[in-house]
Amino acid sequence: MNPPGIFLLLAVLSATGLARDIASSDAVVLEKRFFAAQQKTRTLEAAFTQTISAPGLASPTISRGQLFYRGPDDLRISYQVPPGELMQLDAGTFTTIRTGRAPLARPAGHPSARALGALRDILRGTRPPGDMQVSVTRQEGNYLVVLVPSTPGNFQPERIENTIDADTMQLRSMSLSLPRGTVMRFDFSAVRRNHRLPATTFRLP
Amino acid sequence: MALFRSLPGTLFLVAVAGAGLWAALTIRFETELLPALPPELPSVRGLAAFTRLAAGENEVFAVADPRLPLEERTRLLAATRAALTALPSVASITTPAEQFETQSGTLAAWLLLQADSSVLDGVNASLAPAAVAQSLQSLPAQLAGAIDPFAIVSLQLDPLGLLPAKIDPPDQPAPAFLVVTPSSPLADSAADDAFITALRGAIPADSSGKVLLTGRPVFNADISRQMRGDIILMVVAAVFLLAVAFWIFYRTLRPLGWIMFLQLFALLAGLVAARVFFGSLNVISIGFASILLGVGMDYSILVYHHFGSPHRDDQSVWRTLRRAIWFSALITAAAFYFLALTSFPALQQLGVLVGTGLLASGLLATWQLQIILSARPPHAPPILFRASRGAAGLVERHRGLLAGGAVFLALTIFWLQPWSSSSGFYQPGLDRLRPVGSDAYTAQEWLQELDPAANDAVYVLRAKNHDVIRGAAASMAARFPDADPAALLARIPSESQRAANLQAWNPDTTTRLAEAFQLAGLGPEWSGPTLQFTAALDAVARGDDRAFAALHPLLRTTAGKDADGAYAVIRIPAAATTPVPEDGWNIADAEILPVSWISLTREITALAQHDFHRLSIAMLAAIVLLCALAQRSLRMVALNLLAIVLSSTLFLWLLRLTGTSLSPLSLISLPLLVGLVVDYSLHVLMALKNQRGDLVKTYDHLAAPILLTGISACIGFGAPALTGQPALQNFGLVMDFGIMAAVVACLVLLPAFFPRSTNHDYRDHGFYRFFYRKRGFEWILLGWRFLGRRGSWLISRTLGLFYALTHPATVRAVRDNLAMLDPAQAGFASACRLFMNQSENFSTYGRLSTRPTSEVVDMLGFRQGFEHLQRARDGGQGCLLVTGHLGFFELGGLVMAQLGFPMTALTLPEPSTALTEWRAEFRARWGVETIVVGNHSFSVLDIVRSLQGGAFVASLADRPYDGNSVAVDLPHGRIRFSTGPVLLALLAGCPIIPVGITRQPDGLYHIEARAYIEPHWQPEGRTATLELYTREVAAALVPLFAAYPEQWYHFTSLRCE
Repeated sequence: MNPPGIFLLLAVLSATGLARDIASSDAVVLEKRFFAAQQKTRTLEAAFTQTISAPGLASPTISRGQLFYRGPDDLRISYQVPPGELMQLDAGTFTTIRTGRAPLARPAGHPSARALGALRDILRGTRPPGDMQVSVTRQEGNYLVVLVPSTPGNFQPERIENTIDADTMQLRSMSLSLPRGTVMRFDFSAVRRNHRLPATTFRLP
Repeated sequence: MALFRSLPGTLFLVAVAGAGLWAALTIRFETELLPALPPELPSVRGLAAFTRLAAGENEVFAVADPRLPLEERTRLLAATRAALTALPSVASITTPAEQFETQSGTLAAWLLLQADSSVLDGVNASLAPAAVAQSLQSLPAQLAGAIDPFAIVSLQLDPLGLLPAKIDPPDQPAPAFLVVTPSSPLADSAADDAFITALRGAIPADSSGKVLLTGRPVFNADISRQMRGDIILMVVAAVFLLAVAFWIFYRTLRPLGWIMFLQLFALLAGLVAARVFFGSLNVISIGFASILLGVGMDYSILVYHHFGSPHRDDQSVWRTLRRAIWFSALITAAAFYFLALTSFPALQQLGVLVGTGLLASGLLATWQLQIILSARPPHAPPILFRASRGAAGLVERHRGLLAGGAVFLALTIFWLQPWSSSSGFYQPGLDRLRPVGSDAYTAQEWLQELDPAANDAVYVLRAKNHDVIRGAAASMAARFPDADPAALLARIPSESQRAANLQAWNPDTTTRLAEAFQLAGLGPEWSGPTLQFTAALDAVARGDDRAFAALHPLLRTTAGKDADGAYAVIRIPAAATTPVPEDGWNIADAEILPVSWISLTREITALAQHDFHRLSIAMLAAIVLLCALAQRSLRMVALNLLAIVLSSTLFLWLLRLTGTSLSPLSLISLPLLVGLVVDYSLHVLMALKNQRGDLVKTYDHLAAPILLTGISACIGFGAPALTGQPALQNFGLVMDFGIMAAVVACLVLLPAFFPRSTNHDYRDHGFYRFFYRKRGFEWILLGWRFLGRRGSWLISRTLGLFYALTHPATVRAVRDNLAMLDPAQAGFASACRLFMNQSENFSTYGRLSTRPTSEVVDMLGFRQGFEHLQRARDGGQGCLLVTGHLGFFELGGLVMAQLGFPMTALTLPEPSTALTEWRAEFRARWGVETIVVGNHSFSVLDIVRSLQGGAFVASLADRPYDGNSVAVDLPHGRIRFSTGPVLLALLAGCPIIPVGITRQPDGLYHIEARAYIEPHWQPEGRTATLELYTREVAAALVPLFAAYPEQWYHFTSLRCE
């Protein structure tokens, strides 16, 4: 019933910077390399654009913001558009702040936090839970890593596409295909790794 | 072959074979445990209803091992799903969550209809045109910012926020199991088996053992297959073990083939009974096959042993054995048939099957097997008889020790206290009844482990409608402080609430909403679930009965209606361990059926104990009645009951020492053991009786067969332990212990309580052995002093009558002796008078002791033939006075001595040396010498010397003490007379004078000496000489016996053929 670890797939993908039709044994090697590289990530900061489009929806809904990660537990997605909204996951709590609504604090293990938790696992360099069928292809200067959950469900993404820079192995975008044709896409830019984050970055308002 | 020379026998076998074949081909296998339990129990009905309603008849559940990590379980289930989906026999594979999601709109509508009116008011408010417009307008804004994928999907499902409570995602993110639906209904076990085989074959190799299947079709397929395998396994194991046991005893297997061949027909007879009376075999009654083999073998073994023994040609022995086998088969079959009185269908079946098979076994053993064995008689190994005699000697030597040990053993029952609930002999848990270890059961356990509500108590409620059920559910919730009535009632339909809500619903809502979504630019991806929700309500409001048809697979697990009325499944949180209050529910109108093994355990325990008591009493009463009818002896019935007590105590000790406890089914089966115990005790007691307490002869006939039949019965009951049915395993083990206890108690301990007392020889009776001692005579003397003549007369004759009334076997012997003199005088009254006369004789010792020796002559009345005595005395030579056990013969010697005859009495040794000496001293007071006759030659020399010295030696001839005797004629029979007196007379060269001393009505004693006999060696030889003169002596004495039959004191039958 709950979406599988959506974000986790990107992790796997970003791990693989290979040629098209990479052999599975090569994929395993690259995956190991990726996780090894990620384990060196202490902090991460990137700008993102979030686009939600769906059939039956007149126009896509676009949001923008900044992603912060500080290993091993803290992950925060702050929105500038709409302003003031955020999702933050730490060791024990998943907090959501939305405009016009009271802040919602749920346990870190709550199913709603699972996607964010999977992303955090990837950034930590640990393999995320879940079951995905993975295919890796090369498109121009990027690797396209597609994850398809083996067990589909109405509350689960049906497909996750990640675009990874073939040279830097930086995550460029992530696209979640949800039931009924809905697509949730993140485009990342200005990625900064292992630079010092202000101490107040993860302080809740 | 001899077997088929009998036309009726052949026809019988053909008929049984034909009917058996038909039964075997058409019988069903009842694979579930619940039908084997009493259907009237609420928990049985609850579990059965829940299985049928909630689990479904055709669905199969694929469950991943919950011990595996979540991601591994998810992966395995996904791989399994992909593999099974490809099968043509699979219609669909879903997860519970998916079932819910695809029909979420319709389900929400259904829930809303049952809800309180205020909930519907809230929904109607959200559906107001202005509210709808505002919600749809703000939808894009809701999709912006901090929204996770799950929230996006939720928003798509309910963009208007109609549902009052937010649907939280479950804690378990992955599907706990898959629901596999076949493409066509599974009509029978074969279809189940084919479907499950296909599913298992398609499961990926890496999921094997990690993803298991469960559900009704799986249990049915597995247990059906297992039951068939179990039957074969049990029969093969039983046959093999029986063959080994038989060979060890008889060193041959050839007859075993015939025995097994006939046992096959007994099995078929049982199968026919199962097919005719029940139409099926259940998980318990499949054990009948090996039980029947084991127990039914008893009769064949007894028959085989008979034909292997030296007595095979003795028709009377065969008739006795045949009657005993029929009686035994009847008793044992009756014991099994008594199981039909239990409340448990499983045991009812088992009882009828085995009972019928046993009757067939008994018949075939005494009919067909007899034909076979009499044609080619076998020979039992001599070592069997040697071993039997050795064992008998051992038991005989330690008789006292065994009796004392048995009494001590019986008393330990008060220490064991099996009647106490804390004794531990009975464990009510039903876990041992379930087929633990099977894949289907393991998967079911995994499902329970995965169930987040495993601590909930589950119930099926039934009533005429759901409003009544809701009332009952509210009352139930009130009994549990932690229960939330609102949550409990949310999923129970309400006919009244539904009618009221439908009144408040606008059936045109869907049309209006569709327009609103269209105006807002939102397509069916956003409007679909909401419009599904309202469309369902609109359809119901318009009277469409099919509006919720798509929900049936989901709803049937919670509520619905069937032929029996309305039902609902409810859960009360954290009440799994106490599903039923101690004082019951006290709720009328609705039937509350717990879906709980805990409550089932309590109900089964109460019923099993009730059945146990009822059956035990019935069984004991039947056994007492049957034994009384068969043996017509209170003592024998008491000994049978003693065997039951001893066996029971031994059985309890076996349970205690092995740590075995009784399950409910084995508890109810205990009365069956009573029947088996009596089977053995009857054989032993009847043999002991027939052999007059001779344990050696009894063991010769019975020890080996009983031991072997015990072993075969153990094999029969024990073979089910090899199956996968825990219920049968415990049952088999308990029965084995019972049989072991029965064999030991009946073969070893029981004979110790058979102190030759039921022997026809009165000398083995307790009364004789207690009183016929020195102290007995001293008490007579003492009693005479205190009671005087009248008192002693009264007491002595009363005791004589008492003896007669309490010793029927001795009375029968006396009557038989009397009948040889005059059948018309051989009635019970004559026999009683004989006992009273003898008793009075004993009291006369008291009279003699209290009066001067010279006065003994005053007791003498008429004397006849004294001239013969005078002649002998005047001749200066001794004389042999030969008499029988007639009158007070002791008095004769005393009187003769007082009259001046030099008397010597020949006596056999008394039971004790003290008594022999006491009586010798008693005679010596009157001057009568005593010579005790022994087996050594010195006593003969003593006698001859005495005779040659002029002594008058008194001797008894009508009860030979050794083999030196000759048959003589009585008016209506023949008895043996001792040739010893004639031999003595020949050796001493003295005459013989037959003499009798009888009591007259006036109280005086009449002495009658008969013709003077002078024996001489005849030319025909020694034997002819002894026979000639012995018959002459008999001819003189028998008329005296005939004249005074009630003074002819013999207490064992003298009749010789």
